[in-house]
Amino acid sequence: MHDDDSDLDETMPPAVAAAVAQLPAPTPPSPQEVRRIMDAVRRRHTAGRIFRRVGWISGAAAASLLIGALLVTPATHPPVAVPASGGAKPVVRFKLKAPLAKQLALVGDFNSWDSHATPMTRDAATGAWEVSVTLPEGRYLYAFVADGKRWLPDPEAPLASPDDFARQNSVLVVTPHPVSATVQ
Amino acid sequence: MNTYRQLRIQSLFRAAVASFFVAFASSAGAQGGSARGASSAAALIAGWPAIDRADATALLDSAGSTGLPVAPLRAKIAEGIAKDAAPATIVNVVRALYGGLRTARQTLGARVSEPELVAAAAALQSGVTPGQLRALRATMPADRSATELFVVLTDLTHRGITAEEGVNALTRLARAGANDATLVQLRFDVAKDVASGVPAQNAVSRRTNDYVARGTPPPDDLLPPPEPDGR
Repeated sequence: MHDDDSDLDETMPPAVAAAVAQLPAPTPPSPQEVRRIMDAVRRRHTAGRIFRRVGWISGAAAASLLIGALLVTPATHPPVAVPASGGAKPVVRFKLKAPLAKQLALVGDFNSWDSHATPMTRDAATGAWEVSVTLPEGRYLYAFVADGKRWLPDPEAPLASPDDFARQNSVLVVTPHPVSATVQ
Repeated sequence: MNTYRQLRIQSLFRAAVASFFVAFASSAGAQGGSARGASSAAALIAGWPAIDRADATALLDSAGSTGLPVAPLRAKIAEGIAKDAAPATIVNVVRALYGGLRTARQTLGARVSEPELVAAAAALQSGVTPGQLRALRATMPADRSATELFVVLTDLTHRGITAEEGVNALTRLARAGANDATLVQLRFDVAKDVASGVPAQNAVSRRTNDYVARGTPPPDDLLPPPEPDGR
């Protein structure tokens, strides 16, 4: 180390070399310092082993998230209520992109949460599932059920509160003059 | 409370009768709205333990006798069953909703519409206080529904906004004359901002400021991308 420093000394400007010369000579670490450093190294080594073990769990979790992301991607817009004329009830169109789902159903207050009552149809080209439902004015809770077992809130709609049964619902408000968010 | 106990005892008998009725004469229940509602509720809980069935029936009866809407409670039972929740859990959830509906009606008055009442109950269950609910409702004309206002408030509290921050933001919007479309747009934009990494408080604050300043929803790309967090 000192040899390397000697080589550098030859290229140093005189002012820098003078400043370096003023620095105190290096002193060997005390036994306490050595013990502290070695303890830190051992802790880091142990942490590394733990992280390697946790890595399998993290990998599995990441894979699950990836599969989930592939299964469901946000729809292009929240539910759209189309105002009906002549006093008829508005027709609400629900849409969800779930390209990997084999079946998708709409469940909610309006169909007694029956996963067989309102199946959705898939657009093979886009992977988007759609269904239109005639709903009177009101506030509704709803969700999607993929393949009869996976409950999904609508990623584009307001969230309901609270999460009573450990599965989140979405909210839809149907008014006489339906509104929806502008989607860019 | 005495009324509730009386109703619970009555409900034990009523539930048994209703179960028998559903098992042997379900087709007769299709006569009229209330009869259909009663039979469908009884059918939902027919297989429950007697104590849970009695509690649920008492809550439905109590709601009906005090003028609270029964349909949201019945729908909550159906939701719990569909989600494989235990009967006791469902009863607790229905009881909490019943309490929320009752508080909401006490807060907003008896003339409030059912959708607004249910939306207000959800907001209360999200941590909004009756005082905040009343103050927010007061920012809108009495003849205009506040359902969307309460729905957006509930959603914001789920995205990390405190009830106070949400009420303040929506109060500013309502006083600035925001319509339901603006409220829906705010919720949509905030959700998108939060998903892209913008802290919820910042998103609500800036979106609200822009709405109030412009009087209309801002362009979608108004907010800058989130700053790196130093990693």
